[in-house]
Amino acid sequence: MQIEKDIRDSFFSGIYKVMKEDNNSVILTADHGAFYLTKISQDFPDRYINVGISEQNMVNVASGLALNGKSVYIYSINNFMILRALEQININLCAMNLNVNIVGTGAGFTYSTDGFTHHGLQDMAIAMRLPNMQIYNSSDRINTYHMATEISIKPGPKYFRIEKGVLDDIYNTEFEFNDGFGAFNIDQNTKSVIISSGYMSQNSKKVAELLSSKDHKIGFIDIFRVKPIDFSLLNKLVNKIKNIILVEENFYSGSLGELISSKLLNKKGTRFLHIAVDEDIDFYYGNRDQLLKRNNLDFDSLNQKISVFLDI
Amino acid sequence: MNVKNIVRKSYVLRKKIIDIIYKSGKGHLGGALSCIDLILALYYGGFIFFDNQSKQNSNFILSKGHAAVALYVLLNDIGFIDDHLLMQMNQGSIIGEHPDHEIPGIDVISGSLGHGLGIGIGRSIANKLDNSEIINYVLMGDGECSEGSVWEAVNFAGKINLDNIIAIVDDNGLGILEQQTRLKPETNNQIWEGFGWHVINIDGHDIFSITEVLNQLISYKIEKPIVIIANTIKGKGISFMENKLEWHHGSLNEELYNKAVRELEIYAN
Repeated sequence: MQIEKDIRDSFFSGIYKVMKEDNNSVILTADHGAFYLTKISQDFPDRYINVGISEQNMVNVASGLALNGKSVYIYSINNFMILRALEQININLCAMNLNVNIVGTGAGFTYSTDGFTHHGLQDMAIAMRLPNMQIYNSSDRINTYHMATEISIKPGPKYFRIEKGVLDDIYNTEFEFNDGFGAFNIDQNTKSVIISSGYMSQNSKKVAELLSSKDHKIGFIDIFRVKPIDFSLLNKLVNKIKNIILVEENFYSGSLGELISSKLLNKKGTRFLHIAVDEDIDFYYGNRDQLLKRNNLDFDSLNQKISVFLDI
Repeated sequence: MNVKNIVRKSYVLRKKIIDIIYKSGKGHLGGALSCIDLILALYYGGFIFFDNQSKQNSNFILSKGHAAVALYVLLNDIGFIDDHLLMQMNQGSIIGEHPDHEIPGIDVISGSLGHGLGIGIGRSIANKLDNSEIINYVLMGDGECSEGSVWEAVNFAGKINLDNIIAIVDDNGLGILEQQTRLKPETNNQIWEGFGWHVINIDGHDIFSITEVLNQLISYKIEKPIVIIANTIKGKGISFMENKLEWHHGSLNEELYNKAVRELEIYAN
């Protein structure tokens, strides 16, 4: 299996494969492009529609297509779909439980020079409140390709928060993705675990590997399916672990950290550290790492904060 | 069904609307009575269908969902909603003020305005992809046309020359609190035309004209999306409700109920 190096290309090459195999699939874009999307538009011109910059209409049109049995993909920037077209998504995709895949770029500080309008710091927390919605975060090209080829073809409304660019592989191509998360370096000797999702899993996994030692074994969990999460499975994995650290590129409130802490911290003595984005809006423009640094989410800050928390 | 019988039915079903709302204690009367003739002309004129097998998969979307009771009485008339259920609206049953996709004959939830046209456009595109000749009909309100998403949909359908969608605007001129900001009719027409739509103005209570116009539009094979702007009267058929803002949503006491029924029975029999 040849998977594209660029994470977004890996997703859309998967969608290309799906569209080639399934005549019933249709993709809509709100004038938002991607390299592979051009190829899709050329090879499946009837089933590729640019609806223009009108995300509310795109969701409604997708709903109509899905009502008539089509398997639909809609593509734009996360905020412009989840925040702007929230009501259309809530009613026409979620309450009606239709087969529409929301595919968006712009998780966290992806668009680091584009400002608050483009920063995806709230969309995941909001989407987590939507009935029937499944949410997936891409953290490497392998789970991203799997989302496109295996998960997007399943029924119901889904939200794929796709990364861009070339990232390190977290998974190998043999990995079984059924559980909704990937666990690394976890056994009965593991004392601490860093849990993360999406782009933040890259740094989180590296910090876990760097700080882990014979005396203090540190595991790592990448939650790529944010909704629904199999908490009984996750709990079995971490219930003997003393320190849980949750790292995410979202606002603190309502997001993954709150959910995890409410579901997993039900025994005495577990220590919890949540590192996320402060809600004092930071009007600052630079590369993603610069913005992450201002929120203690870059590699060095994570390394330092987690070292102090674990006293190692 | 011939036009005379559809007209008679429009009064019989108006009477049912009054019965339901009297029993339920409240309901959206004004907008239901302004669009009931349009709904009956569409159905009994043979333009819209409700799939008897699946009880879903219609080619009709009531985008102005608050007029649901006008659709419920039709669905009762054709056997999708039984008499008992019909009279239980709002009183602990599966039917209420706004329609949802779990009600037999109804495919979409439409309590929030401005969604139906885009959904109808999506269905029409799907019909094209499937080489189906089906035309989708979306009934909207003039108040609803203040929603921005309506114009996103209008712009898009015009841009792609989607010729298998017919929007019908129940233009009763009244909102909830006040008369709608009304463009001059010719300006309103120009706006739709500017987006690439074919515009027809009709009297929304003249069942003969509605069916005639629709038959002509379909036979001409106009290669554009079509909008029918139907001039209507909110509360039509009951003198004390006609063109009265306070009857957008209301309840009937015994005296008013009897008065309404007396007026309707003159035409219904």
